Amino acid sequence: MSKKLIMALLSLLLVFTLILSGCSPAQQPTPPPAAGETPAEDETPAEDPAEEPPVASEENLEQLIIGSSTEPTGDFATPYWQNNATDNLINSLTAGYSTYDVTPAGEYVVNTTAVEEPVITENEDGSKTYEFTLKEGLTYNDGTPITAKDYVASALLWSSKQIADFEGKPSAGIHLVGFDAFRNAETNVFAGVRLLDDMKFSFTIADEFVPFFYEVTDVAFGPTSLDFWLGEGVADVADDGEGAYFTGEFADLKAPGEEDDPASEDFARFHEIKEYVLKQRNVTPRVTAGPYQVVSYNASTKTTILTLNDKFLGNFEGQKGNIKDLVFKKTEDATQFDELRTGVVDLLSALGGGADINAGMDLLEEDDEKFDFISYPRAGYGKLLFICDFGPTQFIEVRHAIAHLLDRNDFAAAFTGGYGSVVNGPYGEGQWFYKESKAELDSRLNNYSYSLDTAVALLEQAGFTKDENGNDYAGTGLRYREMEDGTMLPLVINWLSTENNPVSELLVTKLQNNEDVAAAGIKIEQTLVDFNELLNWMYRDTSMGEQYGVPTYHMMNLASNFPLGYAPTYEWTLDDDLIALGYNPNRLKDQELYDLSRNYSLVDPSDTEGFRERWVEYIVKWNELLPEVPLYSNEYHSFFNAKLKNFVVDDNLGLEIALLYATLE
Amino acid sequence: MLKYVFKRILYMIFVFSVMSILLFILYNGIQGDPARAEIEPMKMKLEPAQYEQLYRETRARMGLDDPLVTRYTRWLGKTIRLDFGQSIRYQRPVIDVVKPPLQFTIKINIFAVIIGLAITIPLGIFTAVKKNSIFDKSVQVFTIIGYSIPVFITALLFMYFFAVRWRLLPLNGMETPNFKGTAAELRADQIRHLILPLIVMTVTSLASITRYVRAAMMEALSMDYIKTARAKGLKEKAVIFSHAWRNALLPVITLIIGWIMSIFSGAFIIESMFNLNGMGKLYIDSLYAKDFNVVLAVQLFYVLIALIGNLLVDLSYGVVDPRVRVNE
Repeated sequence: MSKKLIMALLSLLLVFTLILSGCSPAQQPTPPPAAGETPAEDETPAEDPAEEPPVASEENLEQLIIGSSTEPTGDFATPYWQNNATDNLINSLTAGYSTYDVTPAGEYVVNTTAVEEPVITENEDGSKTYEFTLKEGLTYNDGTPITAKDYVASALLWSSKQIADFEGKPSAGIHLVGFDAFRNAETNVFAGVRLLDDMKFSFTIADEFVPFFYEVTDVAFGPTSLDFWLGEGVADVADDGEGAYFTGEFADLKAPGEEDDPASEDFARFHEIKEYVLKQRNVTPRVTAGPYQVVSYNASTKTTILTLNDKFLGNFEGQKGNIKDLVFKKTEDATQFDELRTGVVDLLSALGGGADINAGMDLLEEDDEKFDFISYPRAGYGKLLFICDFGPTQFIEVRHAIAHLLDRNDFAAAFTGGYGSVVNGPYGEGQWFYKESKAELDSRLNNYSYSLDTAVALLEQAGFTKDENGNDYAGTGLRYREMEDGTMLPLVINWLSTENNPVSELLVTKLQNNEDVAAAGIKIEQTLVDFNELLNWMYRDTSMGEQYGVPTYHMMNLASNFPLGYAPTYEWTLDDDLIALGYNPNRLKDQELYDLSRNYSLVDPSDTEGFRERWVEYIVKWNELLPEVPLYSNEYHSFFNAKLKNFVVDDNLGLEIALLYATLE
Repeated sequence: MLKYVFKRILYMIFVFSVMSILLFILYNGIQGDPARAEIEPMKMKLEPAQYEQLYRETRARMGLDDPLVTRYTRWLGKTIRLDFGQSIRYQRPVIDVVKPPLQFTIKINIFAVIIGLAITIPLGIFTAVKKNSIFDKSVQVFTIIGYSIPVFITALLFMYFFAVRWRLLPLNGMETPNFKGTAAELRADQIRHLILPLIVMTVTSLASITRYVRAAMMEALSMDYIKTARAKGLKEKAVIFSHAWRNALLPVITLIIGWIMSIFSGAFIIESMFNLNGMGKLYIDSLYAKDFNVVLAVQLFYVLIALIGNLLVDLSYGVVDPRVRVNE
């Protein structure tokens, strides 16, 4: 009986498997890339895969497969719901006709393919208006003409209370006049956004945000199709002279409160539109206007496929993109170079670890005709962040001494495998204002070279001249400082770092266990936490527990990046309310540093020299106060199949710009 | 029998409820502020007042300002309606996030279980019958090696030889990206991508069940009733399959049913190495990303599977061994 039972069970399982295998939704073959059309099965050219090796992309000059350590999630509405890096890149490639574009040199320029040179007006109230006239002939990828309404719709939709009610993060027009009132639905009119006629529109930046070197980013909007996002006829935009506003049922859409009847029509309609919008985040094909359009996203394989948008007229200089298909897929660190070697991917971008780069170099040694690479400095660094309002690190000399006790060149070489450098301030070596100021900075910045003697002298200068009994420090053991209230402050640095972090591990070797640190009379004690808990300590967030409100840690290791348009407007704020929100996590209150950091970018966009000069002064002051010790700045390496040509990438620019100019040969 | 099953179901509901409370408290007790973690990347872009407003809204949306009991009852109410909330990482309903990996995991595991059982049971029986033969000793050595080598080493070896060196099979992934061809050709491509991980899954799971079946069979074959059966002049085939195997099946059945239930659970290392979107990878990635709504849903699903599996094991004893009654 048991034999029969087992046989029956196995047979059932087999049948079930076959049914499951046969009935599970097969991924459709790649559909033809026209937006608005439903892909039909078996329509694509029949290339017999049986005759192809599994490395289908190896000689394929029509597609580039981009491997990414961050998986594409199929959310095409970043950053309004989430902020995944690969999704952001994909969205950048599908977005187009922005009023301002970025050149490969990293400058913002008027996108004259989309708009005429704007009329810029400085208003009496200090605000600044950019008036744009649209050029003829722009269309979405489905052929729908683009008008001024589509640009106004972008500013309205992505700043609206409705998006917040749909659990999104409206943040498009934050510096425009009337943003807060519109975003909070205090008014239905967005005063800083104007629809002037079918081809004209304007954006007005509020007075407190001008002049600003990067102010054009506040008026850099592309078109958004309301019909696509909200459904046909759900919303339109209009302007009666006071500012643009929504018309249609979307205009009055409000999130139901707890007191509202769930059976009511309004309740149902709100949820209907909300579900529709949330669905549109992922739907393909999409109505977009960029150089590429989304063909498909496969939720099972986490792969996104883009193809050229043949209706795209080009970026600011008419560049349309040369590579027919772009495929984004997740790669695993352990096998990424095997994937490149076997043609599963064609490009591994922005690798920063020494082991990864060495593996890439090994691949090039194997076959330098088939593979190539490009390297470029990271616009950012790994750092030791000091908390400067209590304990030993409140003293500038202690911060300097710690910097002198860490051989940063050695640290950077060890961490990056020799593919990195050391910077002396908050900048990346690829930034244009650094390149133009390099000689000046080299002569003015302190590089805090390794020196025990200098460290000891600085500690003495800071008053750490006693032992635990209040006697003069005898040269061994822990140093103490007698404070104004008579208490003795030990030179113990409580260091908070994240778990499973190779930087933390290297810091243990190179700093915490460095004999010279003990010889200088310093003790460093490490505590390991996860990143979210580190944030609690950094923000002193008592809502998460009373213990976080007690200043405990003097030093944390983190990393910073400086994307194009970055300005440390609030980074060194003196305002306690802002500090409580997590601005100025170093808690270094220095009026001069704050003024320099805030003001260097408060110049007209055309004043590049003024911007650069002020930036240098900020960097010099920062370097003197040393709120952080930059540990390493990676030399990023991108490895790729040699069929990829004209691929010039820079960490300050998005990969989307490099891909627009690249070719396959 | 029905009464027993009913009692067990009541017991399952109780255990499930207790587990749901424990898991909810555990994950909500972990230090950190998920609202802050979610909006932190936007901080540079927003003005401070807007950042603060967004932080408050996000906390309210996540229900973080409510007492734990309120949060639990709200979460349980939704969970019963199969609404597991939003994934923090994907900002999508958890059920949508879990569905593709679960489908894939079940599909590949069914193949792995069938192939595994088809190999291990006959192999275990045969090595027990041919105890101490060269074949038996060879199998013992290979199964010990199979036990000892970490899965990722086995996976790397197979990948290196079959995909990198000989280029016989795709290295990883679930299908050729941007595959151009008919639906049937795509299906063939997907099967090609499954072969290597399936081989590794099977190879790495052979050792335990083979050895378990062998041990159970050897014990059964040493019993007096086997000697009696042979003395009666029964054919060796009948002795092995009708007498020894049926008695050996009782301890093995627990393992086999456990293995069959494991079709729902993923294999993190194999899924990661082969870049497969399965449950193991989703679970671990979600844990790392502190996407606790996903983690909670997955864990409760496994609690349910484990409870059902235990019930099936108990019921199967009654089917396999008439001496066991499941009425009490």
